[in-house]
Formats: sequence, structure tokens, C-alpha cells
Amino acid sequence: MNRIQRIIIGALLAVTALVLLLSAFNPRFLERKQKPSDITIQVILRSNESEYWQNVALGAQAAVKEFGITMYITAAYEEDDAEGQMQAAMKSLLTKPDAIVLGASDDEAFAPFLKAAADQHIPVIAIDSVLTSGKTKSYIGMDNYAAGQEALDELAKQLKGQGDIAIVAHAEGGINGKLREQGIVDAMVNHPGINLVDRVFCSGDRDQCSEAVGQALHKQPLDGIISLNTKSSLGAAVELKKKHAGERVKLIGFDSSPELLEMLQENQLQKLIVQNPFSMGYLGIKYAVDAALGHKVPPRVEMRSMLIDKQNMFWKDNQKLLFPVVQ
Amino acid sequence: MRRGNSKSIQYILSISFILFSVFIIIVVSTVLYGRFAATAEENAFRNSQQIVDQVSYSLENNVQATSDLFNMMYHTISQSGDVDSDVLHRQLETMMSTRADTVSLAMFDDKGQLVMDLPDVAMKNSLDVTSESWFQSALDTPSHLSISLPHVQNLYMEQFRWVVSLSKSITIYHNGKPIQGVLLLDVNFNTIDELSDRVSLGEKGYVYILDESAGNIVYHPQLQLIYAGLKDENVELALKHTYGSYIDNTADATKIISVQTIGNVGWKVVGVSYKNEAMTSISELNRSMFQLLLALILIVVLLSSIVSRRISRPIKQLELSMKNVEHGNFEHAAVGEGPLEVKQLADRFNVMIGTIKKLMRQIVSEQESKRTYELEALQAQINPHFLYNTLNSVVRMVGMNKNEEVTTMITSLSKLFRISLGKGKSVITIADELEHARNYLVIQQMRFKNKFDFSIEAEDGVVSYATLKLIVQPLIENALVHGIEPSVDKGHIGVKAKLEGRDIVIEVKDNGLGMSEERLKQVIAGQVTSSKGSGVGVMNVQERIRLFYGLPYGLHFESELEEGTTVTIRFPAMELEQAEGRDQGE
Repeated sequence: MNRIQRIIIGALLAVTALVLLLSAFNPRFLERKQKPSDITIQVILRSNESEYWQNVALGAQAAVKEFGITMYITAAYEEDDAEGQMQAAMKSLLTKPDAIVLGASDDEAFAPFLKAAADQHIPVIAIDSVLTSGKTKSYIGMDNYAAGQEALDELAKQLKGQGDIAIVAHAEGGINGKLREQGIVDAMVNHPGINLVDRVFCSGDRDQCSEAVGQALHKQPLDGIISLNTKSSLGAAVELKKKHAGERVKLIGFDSSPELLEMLQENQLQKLIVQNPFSMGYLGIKYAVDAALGHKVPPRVEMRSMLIDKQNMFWKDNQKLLFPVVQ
Repeated sequence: MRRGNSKSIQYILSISFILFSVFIIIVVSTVLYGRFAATAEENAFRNSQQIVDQVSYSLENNVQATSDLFNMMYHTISQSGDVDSDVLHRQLETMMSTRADTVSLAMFDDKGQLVMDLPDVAMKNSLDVTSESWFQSALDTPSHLSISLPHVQNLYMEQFRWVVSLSKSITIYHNGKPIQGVLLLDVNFNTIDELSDRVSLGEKGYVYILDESAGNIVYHPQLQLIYAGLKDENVELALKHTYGSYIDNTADATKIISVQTIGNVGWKVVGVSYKNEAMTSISELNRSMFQLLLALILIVVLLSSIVSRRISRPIKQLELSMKNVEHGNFEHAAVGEGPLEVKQLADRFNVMIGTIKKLMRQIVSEQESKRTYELEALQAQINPHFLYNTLNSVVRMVGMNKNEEVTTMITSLSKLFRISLGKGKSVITIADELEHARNYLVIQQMRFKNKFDFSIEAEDGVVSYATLKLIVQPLIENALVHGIEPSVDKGHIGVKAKLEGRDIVIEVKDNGLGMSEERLKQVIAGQVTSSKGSGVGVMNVQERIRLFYGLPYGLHFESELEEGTTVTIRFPAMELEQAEGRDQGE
């Protein structure tokens, strides 16, 4: 070992010792690991108005508290404003979040966004609505197709296997609505006595839905209705109540709101298929954090839906699900 | 290092430094860690328990105040004659307004019919209170105030509010008739929710409220997740204890569970905090200790190698000097650097080398003087013998009246003695040496009755150089005795001094008998001892020249039978002072 080598080795030892000492006295010195609070998750919701999406946000906040991450929420002003949501989403990419939780209002419209996120290697967790127009790390939500089948099965049970029914769907359809409708149509095979006689379309507004349902009822007698979302369910229930047909015409709805629950109590509505948006929001963040840290994430997480009726709506388990916000 | 299992100083020092410091650090960190861990755990327990105690205290107060309000209303209503009176309603409204969290007051008869309702809000059409738990429990246990779990109140139109219901059976006077009924006060849940939500038990810790009797969770920040099966709360430990903090090991992460019971409602406030969170400082300390340990080991390695190098390098240098001495090189003194001990060792070594050198010099000079004495003794031997012969010749010449020759002989003899005695010096000029040789030859020529003649030649400038004394005369004597005397012919002896390069060459040539090759070899080898002659052998001359000037110099013999012998003396040219200096210095 010559002199220069000795000096180099000595200097290396000294530097290593110095680094170790610094690190020993200042624990953050060598910390390469990302701190949880450094992880930012962008949550893009369909709306910040509706109960459903507020619950999603609550669940997300619970997860934020548990994992200690940083979360940003953006939402379209109007629930059906795919364009506006898309713009907000694109804008949020500029902040370079570590992961995105996306409850998209349209599949096709978000193709460029998913591509942009993939280009930036930002994992996207789809919640509520499954996305097929691009790459997502995971889907967390209800199996809407199965829920559609369940809705028809339930209605068939209510009608004792016989009757003419109609579907009240959202005008633009939406990702979930289409799947639910497909589930209903495919389940018709199992119930030969049930006939789908009408498809009613109405867009966002409750009164518009009422009117459309009224027209459908006028066109032909109906024994049962399946409405595919909150607004259409409420519209249909209001119309049935107005026509004093609530007992006669069985109505199966999707999602919940205080008004819908009120209708359920009044028996204007027989069953509601309710999701667990709180858990959806929670799991969305949980898996987004996992994805941001590069852990494996299940590609599809199916949330159990609950069939709510007048009897079980005040059960202990369901109270928190249906009335998440303490007011 | 190389011998057997011996370890270098560096190795021994490093290893013992490292072992020692590691030992110290481990001891210190173990003690610190133990202390710290115990304190941290104690603190975590105390902190958790304190928070839970505070929450339960507030909650208990809240429940107590609400119960008090309820009781006050209860008495007011009981004592009033008519439940429909406006005065009573106003009184009750005032009482309600004293607390912000009261939602509604209602009274039902035992059939479930509404008797009174404050504030006056439309009831649900489908209302049937008889199936409600607060109604049943009030009737089942009269005169006992039932406090419900938080639930969504299902009484009013388009209202689904989370409330805690206080209910008690009551006897009232309605239209003058006493009837049995149930008084219901709904208190909103915000206070409990906020109270529990505000509490922080570390980053992830939380507080939940448990109903003692049924084990139901009254409040939990993640109740939905628990119902959805995404979370699990282990309530068993909390149910088992009424007070205190415990460790829950059932889940993946170890939790600290703190329990406090609220007496008046039979609820338990349970605080859950994560032990690893409370102990973060511990694991950080652990890590720091470990890093400190590593850093110290590195520093110790570095230091010990520097220190041991400083110690062992002078020792190695000393070893090198010793090796030099081993090989006979006494000139390089050991370097006296490094620690005191090594310096002292080097000094001692140097002193030792000095002594050895002095002893060696002493031996050399003793040897030399011994030889000089010997030579001087030998030199001294010639004189009486030669003197006897010469004086004999003088006597004979006096007898023959050869006065002139006697004068010459005695003059030569006296000159001979003057030079050979000198001033006790062994170095003289070549001129003196040649003069000496001439005097000798003159005396011998007379003794041998002109049996030979001689010639002495010297190159210019040669005569002033120095030479050893009495080196030519023995060679001439040799030539006379072995060359000229046995020969029948008249002989000739030639002495020639000249300069050859930096050397002085003195040649003594005779044309006597000469020597056979065999004999010449014996003479060169110094094996010939003569019975005749003065006794100062040719070899003595050889030895003296070599002793004085060094090895390459000395005598050279050339001889041929019947032709004669030539002996050449060769030595370096030196000025007299230089040669005298060397003579004295040696």
C-alpha cells in the first residue's frame, strides 16, 4: 500500500464517519425514503354537490388522516360536465401528483387525460366508474352490471314474476348507467314473465325525470320501474307519489339521498341499491398511496352494494351508510 | 509481523481500540435505550390515558348536564297541571334554549300517540314510535332515565338527524286526566363527534366510544369502514377493563389501548394509539446509536492506524539501521524520531554503535602499533650486524694504511646512520632514500673490493616526493647477497626512480645470478627465508608498503637465470606533508 492509497482510504473513512455522525445527530440527514406527507394524491370527483360524492370525499379524508398524505380534490361544478371535469383534471396534472383518484363522468372523453397521465407515469385509480379508454391502475367500485341484474331480480320478486316494466335512465347514459342497463337487459332472460316495454331518458333535472316518467305511464300501464341513478329515481318516485301509484307500481332505484329515503319510508319506492361511497373514497386513497409507492395494487376492487328498504334502513349498520354526515 | 503468530503493533492497537470502544458504546446505548424505552412507553401510556380521561370527563359532564336539563324538564312537566298550557311550553322552550345541543322535546302517550312536540315540526306520516328502542326501554324501566346510543332520529318529516335520545316514562295530566307517557329529549351528536374528532393520539391514533352493556360501538371515526368490513376494532380488551392502559398485540401493529368508563351512561371512552408511533423516537435513537457505533469504529480504525503507524514507523526505521550495521555499515546513525521510548532506544543504539566503532578503532591502532614495533625491532637488528662488518673492513683498511678509503667509508657510514635514524620519522623524501642507498652501496663496494659498480638515477621532480624509509636498501642488499656475490663476473646494480602517472616507481636492477621461475614464485609468496643477509626480508618491505598505501601497491619481481633480477617498487606519489599526515593519522 503506497502513501497515496493510504491517504485516499483514510480520507474515505473519515468522510464516511462524518456522514454517519451527521446522520446520527440529525435523523433526517440520510432519509431517502419518501415521507408520507410528501406524497400528493389528486382526487378528481364528478361533483362536490351531491351526497354521494361528498361521502366519497369524506372517505378520502379518513384515509388522508390515516396515512398522513397530502390530498387535493377537484370536482366539476355540474355532475354531468364531462368537459369541465376533464379540463380540471388536465390542469391538475401540471402539479405532478404522485397518483390520481378519478371518478370520471365519461369514458371516451378521458382518453387523452389517461394518456397524458400514463406519459407522466402517474398511476390512475378509477373509482365509481370503470374506464376502458385508457390505462388505469385499478378500479374501485360496484359491479354495475351485476347490480343491474340484481335490480331486475328484485323487481321481478316484487312483481311475483309478472309484469311490464320500464327503465328510467340518464340521457347521456354515463358509464355506470350503461352497465346497469346492460345487466337488466341480460337478466330479462331469467324472468320470462317480465317485459321491458319502455326506456325513458331524462337528463340531470329531477322535474324533467318526473315528466318523462309521467309520459311513459301515460303511454302504457306499467307494473314496475327501474331507475338507474339518484335523479331519475327521485323523479320517478315523485311522479308515482303524485299519481298515487306508489303502492301499485313497484320502483327500484339506485343510490340514496335523504329525499329518496323519505320516499322509501313512504313506500313510494320499494328498494334502493346503495353503494358505499365512503369506503370507495377511502380505498381509492389507500390504493393510490400504494400505487404511488410502487406497491402492487389489485386491478379491480368490487364494492358490495346494499339493498335498502323501509325495514332495514335504520339498522345500525345502515344508518352510518345512509346518513354519513352528522348534522 | 513475519515471525510465527506475532501481530503487528498496528493490528494489536486497532483491534483493542475497536473492541474497547464497541464495548463502551454497546454498554452505553443499551443502558440509554433501556432507560429511554421505558420512559417513552410510560409517557405514551400516560399521554394516552390522560387524553382518554379528558375526553371522558368532558363527555361525562356533557351527559350530566343534559340529564340535569332533562330532569328539570321532567319535573316541570310532572308538576304542571296541563301539558297543553302555553306557559309550560314557553318554560320548556326557555329551558331548551339554555343548551345549544338540544334538538327536540317530544312526549308520547303509552300507545305511541304524540302528546306534545317542541319545537313544532311536522312528524312523519308513517310514524310509529312503539317500535323505537327509546320508547320501549322507557316503559320497561319506569323512573329510570334511558340514554340511547347515537342514532338517526326517525320522527320528523325530511329530517334524518343523528341524535342521542334521553327518555323516561312520565305521568302527565292531559285534559285533567292522568295518563302514562314517555318523555323524549333528543340531543344532537355534534358535541361527541367534535370532541372525539378533535382529539389526537399521535398521527394515526383515535378515540372511540363503546357501549359497555352490548359492546356496541357508540362512536368511531371510521365506523363506516368497520361496517364495510374494511377495518376491524378489537373491543374485547376495552370491554374487559374499566380503567387503565393496555397493550393490544392482536393486530399487525401493536396498539396502546386506554380505557375510561363514563359512569352515568355506561359508556367507555377508548383511546387507541400506535405503539410504534409513540416509540418513533426510540427507533430513531436506535438508528442513531447504530450509526454512531459505525462512525466510531471507522474513527477508531483511522486513529489507531495513524497512532500505531507513528509508533511502529520509527521502530521499523530503527530495524533498518540495525540491518545496515549488521551488514557492516557503521556510518548511518539511527534516526531518533517518534515517541520517547523509541527515541531513547535509538539513542542507546547510537551510543552502542559509537562504542563499537571506538573499540574497533582501538583494536586497529593496537594492531598497527604492534606491527610497527615489530618492524622497528627488525630494523634495529640490521644495524649491529652491518656495523660489525663495516667496522671490520675499516680496521682492515686502517691496517693497510688506506686512510683515504677509511675516511670515505666512515663518512658514508655516518651519513647512512643519519638518514636511517632520521628524527624517528618513517617517511622521508625520495632524495634522502636514494642518498641512503648510495651510502650503503659505497660502503659495500669498498667491502667487496669493487666486485661491482652501481648507478643511481632519478627523474626530475621525483626526488621531492615522499617515500617510506628504508625500502630500497633491503632490495640492494638482496641483490648483492643473492645476485652479485655468488657470481664470478663483476656485477652492476642500477637504481632508478621515476614517475608513472600518479605513481612513483623505483627500480632496483642487478645483473647477477637471477632466479629460476620456481624460486621466483617462492620469493613472491614470501616462502624464502635467507640464512645470510641482514635479516630484514624483502617481504617486510612489501608488507610495509601495503600497510601504508593499501593493497594494489608493493613490489614486483622480474628475474631470469644468468641474466639478473629486477625488483620494482610502486606506490602513489605523495607530498611529504601529506604522507607525514597520513603517517601520524593512522
